[in-house]
Amino acid sequence: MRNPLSLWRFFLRNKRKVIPVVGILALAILGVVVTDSLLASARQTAYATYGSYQKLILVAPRATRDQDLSNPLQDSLTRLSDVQTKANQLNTPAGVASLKSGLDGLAASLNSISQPQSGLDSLLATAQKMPGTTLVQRDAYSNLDINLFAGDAQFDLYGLDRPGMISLLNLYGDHLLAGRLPSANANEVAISEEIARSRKVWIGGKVGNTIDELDRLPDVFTVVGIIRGPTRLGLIPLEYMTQHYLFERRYQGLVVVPQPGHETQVHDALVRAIGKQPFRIFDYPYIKAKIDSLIENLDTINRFLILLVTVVLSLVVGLLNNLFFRQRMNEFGLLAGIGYNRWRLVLRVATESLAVTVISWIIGVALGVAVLTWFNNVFMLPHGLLMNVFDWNVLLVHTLPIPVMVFLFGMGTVAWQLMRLDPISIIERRD
Amino acid sequence: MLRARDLVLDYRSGSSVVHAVDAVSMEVGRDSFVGLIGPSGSGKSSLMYLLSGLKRPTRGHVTFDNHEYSELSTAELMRLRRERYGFVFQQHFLINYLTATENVVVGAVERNGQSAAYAQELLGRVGLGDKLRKRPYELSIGERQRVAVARALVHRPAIVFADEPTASLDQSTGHEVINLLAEYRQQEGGSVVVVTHDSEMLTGADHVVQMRDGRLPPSG
Repeated sequence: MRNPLSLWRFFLRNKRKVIPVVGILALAILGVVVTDSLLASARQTAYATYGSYQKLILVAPRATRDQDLSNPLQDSLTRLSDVQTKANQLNTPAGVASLKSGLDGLAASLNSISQPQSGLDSLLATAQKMPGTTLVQRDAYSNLDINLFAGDAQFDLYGLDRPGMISLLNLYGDHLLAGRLPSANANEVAISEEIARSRKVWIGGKVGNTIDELDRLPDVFTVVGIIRGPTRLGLIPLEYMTQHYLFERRYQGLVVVPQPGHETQVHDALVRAIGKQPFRIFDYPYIKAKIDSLIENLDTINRFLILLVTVVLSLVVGLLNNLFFRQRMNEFGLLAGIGYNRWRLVLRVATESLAVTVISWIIGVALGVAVLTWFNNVFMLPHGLLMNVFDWNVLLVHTLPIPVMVFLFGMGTVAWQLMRLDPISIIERRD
Repeated sequence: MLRARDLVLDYRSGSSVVHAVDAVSMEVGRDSFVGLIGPSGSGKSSLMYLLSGLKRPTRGHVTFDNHEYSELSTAELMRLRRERYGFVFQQHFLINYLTATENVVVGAVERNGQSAAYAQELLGRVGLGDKLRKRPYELSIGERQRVAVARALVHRPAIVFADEPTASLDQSTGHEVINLLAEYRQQEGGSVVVVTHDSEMLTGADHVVQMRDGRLPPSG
């Protein structure tokens, strides 16, 4: 027998006191690990979902009231009404001439329906000449609705011609895992496997707003290709999109790929080229800031919850420590009385508290990792959601305040009493 | 060995001062058995606290082997208590989650196999050789007090201070406990200071000091 007052002997002989404290702390740490990891997962999945922006800049028409009013369909309807009025005046030679000019105007306006946003062609030409770009493509982009666990999000589908699709795959190092690229004039789509899993589709599956009303596709599209690679992509044919009568030209823009290290230069050049034209730029800093601002509120709530849990646990465990300390008053009174050094007694209690908090922390983190691993395999991966089970920022930085605060608070109150303990008051107690 | 001179211990009670120990001088020699006797509130326990260094006196001096208490730091005084003195109190103060042997080893200065073996030998001597692994709640009150005596003796102290060690025991068990202390004095050569209100427990004492109102009689 080395030391009858050893830590392990105390724990083994006082299981009923130690296990509830360890259990409470471990469960709290488990809760923090799980909620924090899910939140981190939402952010991580969102970054991955919009990961394509890390290498490209999307130039898109700005949705303005003027643009809506200049809708070519609206313009054509007005002209048709004008033709009808003139047809009613056909009883004069001047009326025939007037009808002819009205019909010419209507024909001209119908042409503009299939034309992109005015200024896009010149912007395309300017961008193609910009130094620092590797690829500039016309893009009839659209979106698919996906679930990011923290809420729904719109996944970008790039509407490109075939060379554009191949260029984009090469840019990200992605490849076709199954199927083929969409045909030019077909309502077909190729998507990354994670997105396919998220939408529970594979080759032959259907997407579109008749299936999910939040899909911004003008028709039902068939999945013909599954993409695998480091970046999540969705590809639809430029030709089919621009010729579809329901395609809104505000969704026709440009994909501009800067050379590595030239992102800012190309961004600034695009800003200058756009000038006051109704176009806007989507690049990775913008997208990331949007994601961060969306998750910031959840982060704030989560931080508040962690703080609340830490404070409540500190109080609960501190009170339990005090209760247990009072139950052991005779022990400490005796040890102080027979000459045990006071600081060594404080050190002993500190070691006991520290061991309890460290053991609880290890159990809590281990349980957290086990639960997250199970949840990741059962739910996250099948739904195309990302989760880093071993996120050390979550496992260490976010959970450590709990044991540290619990230890400091619990230990502080007990140490204070121990230093002021008068052994004679214990020795003379007649209870 | 242990010498007290003009010891005073005052307690402040409101605006008045109570003299728990009032100008007491006495000596405890080597291999001696000193009894401190007196009615409740006579100051005998307070005197024992002063002699053993559990309390600092208001005035006066206590010297052990030429070490003046007032010149020792709190840590040094604690070390003195830990290494040279043994204590038996009215209550056993055994640690509930430890066995009888482990409780005895708590009193040892060096905790190793040797001290554990000596603890078991002591428990055998006090008649608990068959209860080495029993916990305090599995022992009778008398047996617990005998374990407490073994704990006080395990580091072979120079002086054993026993404060009302028989107060919670019946007469025969009380005598057994006092006899154990007397045996220690004879076998190991340590001194024993016993505080009690029962004069029958001090029949084997070399010297009995009668206290009243914090003072010793002029002849004491």
